[in-house]
Amino acid sequence: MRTAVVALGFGAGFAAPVLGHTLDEYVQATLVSVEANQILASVRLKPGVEVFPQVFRAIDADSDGQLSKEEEAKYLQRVIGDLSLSVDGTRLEPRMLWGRFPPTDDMKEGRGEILIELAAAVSPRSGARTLVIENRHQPRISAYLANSVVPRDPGIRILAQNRSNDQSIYELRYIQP
Amino acid sequence: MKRSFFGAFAGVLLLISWDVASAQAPGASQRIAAAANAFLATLDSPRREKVLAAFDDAEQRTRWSNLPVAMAPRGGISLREMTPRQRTAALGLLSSVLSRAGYEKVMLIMEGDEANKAESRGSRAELFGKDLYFISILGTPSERDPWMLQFGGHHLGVNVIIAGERGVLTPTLTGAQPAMFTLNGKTVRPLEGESDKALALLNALDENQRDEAILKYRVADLVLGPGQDGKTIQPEGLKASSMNARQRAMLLDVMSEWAGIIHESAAAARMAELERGIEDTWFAWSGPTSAGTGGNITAYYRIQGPNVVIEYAPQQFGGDPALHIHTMYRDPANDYGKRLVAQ
Repeated sequence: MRTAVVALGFGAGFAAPVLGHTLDEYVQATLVSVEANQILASVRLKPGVEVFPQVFRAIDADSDGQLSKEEEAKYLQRVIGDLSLSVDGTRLEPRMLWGRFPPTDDMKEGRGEILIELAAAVSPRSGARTLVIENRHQPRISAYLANSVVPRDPGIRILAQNRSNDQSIYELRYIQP
Repeated sequence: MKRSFFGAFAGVLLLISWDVASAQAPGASQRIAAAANAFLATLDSPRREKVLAAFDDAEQRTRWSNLPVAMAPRGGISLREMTPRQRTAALGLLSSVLSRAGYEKVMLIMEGDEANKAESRGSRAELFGKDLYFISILGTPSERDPWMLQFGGHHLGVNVIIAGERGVLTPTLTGAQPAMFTLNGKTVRPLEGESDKALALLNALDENQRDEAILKYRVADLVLGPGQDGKTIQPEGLKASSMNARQRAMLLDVMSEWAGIIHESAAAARMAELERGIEDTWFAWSGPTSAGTGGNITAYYRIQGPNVVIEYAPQQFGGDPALHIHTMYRDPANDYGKRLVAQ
């Protein structure tokens, strides 16, 4: 016998249920790792189902409804091009270590993430340093996250993290031994 | 009259044949192993094979998510696939591994998903429901050697490593949608403590402390959610060494909402560990500083210490973020009990 009685008592504040993830934003999460002679960055891009058509159109350059390897590769490069990295005011040239697309259906249903791993060489120098990352990819639909992992090199000490309100601009100040 | 396993919530609790309180006492490992073996004994061979995985099965270990199971398939078998006797034994095992409060929290999260189902139309209803939660066992249930219990579905990923009397609950994901609903005439909030205790702590801070604790930017989602194992981010916010004793006690009390999900003896050991690291624990807050609908906060917060990362992330996507919450509980040094297993 089914005895549970479940009723929602707050109809005004609770519309039809939605899936357990961000729907109407393109979440772009960047995680940086500072090393003595390079910056490593991991970028995860996850389109919500409501913005997926817009993201898909940006990738599907020939509008054939399919994502070719070439289109995916070009899109990854476009994302990288929309990122700017600098250390102490010197612009860095990030190179892609690897990039990966999920199955299109996974993205369409809001569970797929595009992953990009980047590395950018930095001239080693002791003292206080400032890394700035700006993400300008798809700003109208995006929600950004930017963080730093605790450096593997115990000699590198993070002093401060500053961000714009939407986290599209991230500044990391650190001391390098 | 035979009662449905999925009766009223109180009824579910009554149906559990395992004495939850006994899990607190010395000998919890024996009772948990006995509950696991009793559950396995109810299964026929095909179901048993689906439930069991190798302890070092890295793929199964990380097969948990906030998403509905149709979108992110879990291992093991679902409650839907079980007979009433099997379901009772499965929940008996779960209740032996969790504290009473932890078990109730899990049940309410599942009830919330049942509410989701009731509100859904057509095929969407198939995404939700309290019988769409999966159980799996990694390794061989033992009173001494490590093994693992996984239980999860939409908004729930409970991962427990059991090694004798000790237990590790990280990483574990809890969430709620709706985060407030009416159940048997009562308004319930599955993550009430997580919301209210954190807001109370924020309100207990002085102006300078609040200025340090409150981040000046929006945090849209979990930073270390599913798929982000093994990462430790730079802590931010207010360090507990700058708090007074009462505020530190309040911070520990917030953490107990996650640390206290596991059975009482393991929770006590975990709380002692968190207390030892309290001076190096940080509290950061982003978003509104007052409660939203029904009392749930709509702000993100993070607690990070030497052995813990907790994130509370209301989901902001057009609906009311007070009614849709994701949380994450991690120990970067001991996720999946790696430190415990290495001992």
